[in-house]
Amino acid sequence: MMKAAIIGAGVMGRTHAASCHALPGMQVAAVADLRPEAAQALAAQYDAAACTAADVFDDASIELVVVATSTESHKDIVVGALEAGKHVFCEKPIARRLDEGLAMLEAARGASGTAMVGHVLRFFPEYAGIKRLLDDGAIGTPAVARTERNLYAPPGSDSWFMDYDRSGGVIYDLAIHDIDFCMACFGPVERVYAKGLLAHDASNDHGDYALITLRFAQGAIAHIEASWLYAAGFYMAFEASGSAGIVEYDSRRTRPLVFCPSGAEATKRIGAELPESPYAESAYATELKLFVEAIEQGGEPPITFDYAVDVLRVADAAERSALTGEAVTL
Amino acid sequence: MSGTGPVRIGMLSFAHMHGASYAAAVARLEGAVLAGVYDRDKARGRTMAQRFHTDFCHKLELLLGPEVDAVIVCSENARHRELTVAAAEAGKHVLCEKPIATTVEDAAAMMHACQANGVKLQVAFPCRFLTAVVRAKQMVEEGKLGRILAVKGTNRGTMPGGWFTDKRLAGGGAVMDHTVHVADLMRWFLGAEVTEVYAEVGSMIYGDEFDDCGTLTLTFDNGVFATLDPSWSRNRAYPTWGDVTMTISGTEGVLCVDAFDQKVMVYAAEEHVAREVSVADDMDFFLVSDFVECIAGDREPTITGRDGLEALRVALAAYESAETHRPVKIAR
Repeated sequence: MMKAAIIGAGVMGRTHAASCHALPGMQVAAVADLRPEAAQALAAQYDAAACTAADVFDDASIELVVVATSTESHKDIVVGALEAGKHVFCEKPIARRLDEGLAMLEAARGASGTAMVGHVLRFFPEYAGIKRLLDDGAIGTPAVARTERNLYAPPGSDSWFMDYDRSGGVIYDLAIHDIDFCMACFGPVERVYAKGLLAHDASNDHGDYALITLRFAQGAIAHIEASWLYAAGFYMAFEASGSAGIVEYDSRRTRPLVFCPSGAEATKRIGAELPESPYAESAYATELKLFVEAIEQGGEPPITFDYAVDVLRVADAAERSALTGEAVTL
Repeated sequence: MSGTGPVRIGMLSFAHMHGASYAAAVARLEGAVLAGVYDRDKARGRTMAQRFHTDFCHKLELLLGPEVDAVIVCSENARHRELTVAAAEAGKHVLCEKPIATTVEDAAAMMHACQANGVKLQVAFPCRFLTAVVRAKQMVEEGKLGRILAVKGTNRGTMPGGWFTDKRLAGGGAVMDHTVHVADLMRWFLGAEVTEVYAEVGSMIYGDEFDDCGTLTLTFDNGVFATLDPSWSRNRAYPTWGDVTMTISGTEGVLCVDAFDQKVMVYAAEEHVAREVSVADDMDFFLVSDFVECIAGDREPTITGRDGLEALRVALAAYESAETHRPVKIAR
């Protein structure tokens, strides 16, 4: 039985705890969070110990650590876990700042444990399908791609996501998914140009928004939209056109299941729709399963720290471009 | 013009396919009549004259005589100048297909000729007359979006072929063809001018002869930023030829405009393709109707030569940026 610890008992910590628990031979043994009550609540679900990150590092029986804390805290926790000899699964983005990412990469290179970053998008069956089609030549030579990842994060909420210094705003939190996926499809990025609101705090009257253009070494152009201003419900979209065809996916147009509440629920908001796209195995379960397989087989995990730092370099370039108004060549 | 009679309109070239749509609009309009066709391509000119039950003039001067009040120029882009200046010097009002020209010098010469001869110059940006766009503009003016922060636009299309891919006649490829419509809409919505353009442009869909795809980023003088995709990235299998979209993000809401999304789907068994059939209002009819009204009512054109010039500057700056890999400031 492999013992796992979850550090960070927020939405992603809860998701990864459930995935770990469902894996055969895996036990959620400990949950750490700066908020003891959050750690206790999640630990109780799995009969695990509620503790601190330092306790996790000191506990030699714990082999795998899932880091699902706020982005700016990744570095210290991940480096601590790697130095303690743990396998580390780190939530995306790898870090808030490039220097932190590089320090984590160095720690991973010298560590005995395996390290992976949870760039989950490619494990979504829709995106896995797109990737497969592109690899099979469905669009020929890729020319121009467009991605969208839009939701509503109202300013003034006390979530750490709204603290630009901690989360990096939509570039580091949302666009990073599509940067990763486009790099998986089109290879290394050569040039970045971006405009963004770079919303810093709750005192502004709007959330964050960014429009990013990537030019890939191979020639393709990608346009990435990431929004916290879009209040009609989360959606994501991807399309790519090439010399031989077009692929197109939009979560608003693929809705295998839609619950339309009536009765008491409808009196709150008439016309509310709750769409779902269920799969037998969630992408979050897939990424953890593959990570554990890599540990057991001694191979490379699907998303290494080296690769995740390359993704971070592009996000960093987008942020610098938005701040300086210049294109950034990588 | 001829007192209170209908506005008599000559068609100068059908090189651009919109010519047929504009001619059909003139034919439908109560206040206008088709007064003849001139076309360098005589066979095409005769065919179109026959189709619209009007005369073909084998010489331009013949169509610029006293029986004509105004002309619609639908030649290749690089020939807009010679036809527009000739018409202006003959005292004819001009509705010129977009882009106004392929160079700033040509556009300025056209504007000057029209002004000097006291005739109106309207540039054909029919997207301003799309009913969904008109409604969106109204919502922006009503303040429903609050303060506009950013705009994301697309004007994707199908590669038209012919002279559109010949830089000497078209002035460029996809970026020249499809930047100006939505750049014009953005200027119009924001009441602001573009100060800087960054662009990545590629030739990857149809080989390397002409630019077929790109992404532009525009910065406006009021601080708003925008992107625009002018790619010829819709192929023949795609259900429709192209789009005009704008996602306008404001402090009080996001307005998503997909102006051609008024359609019925058709699945033709023989052709093995799904096809969108538009059931939208006819923007070309509204454009021509507006042009005729502006002549009959002797008012300023709704879309001026300067509007055409400013949109052209964006496309030209995009090409420059694509060469230098730097944002290009627009000098005025």
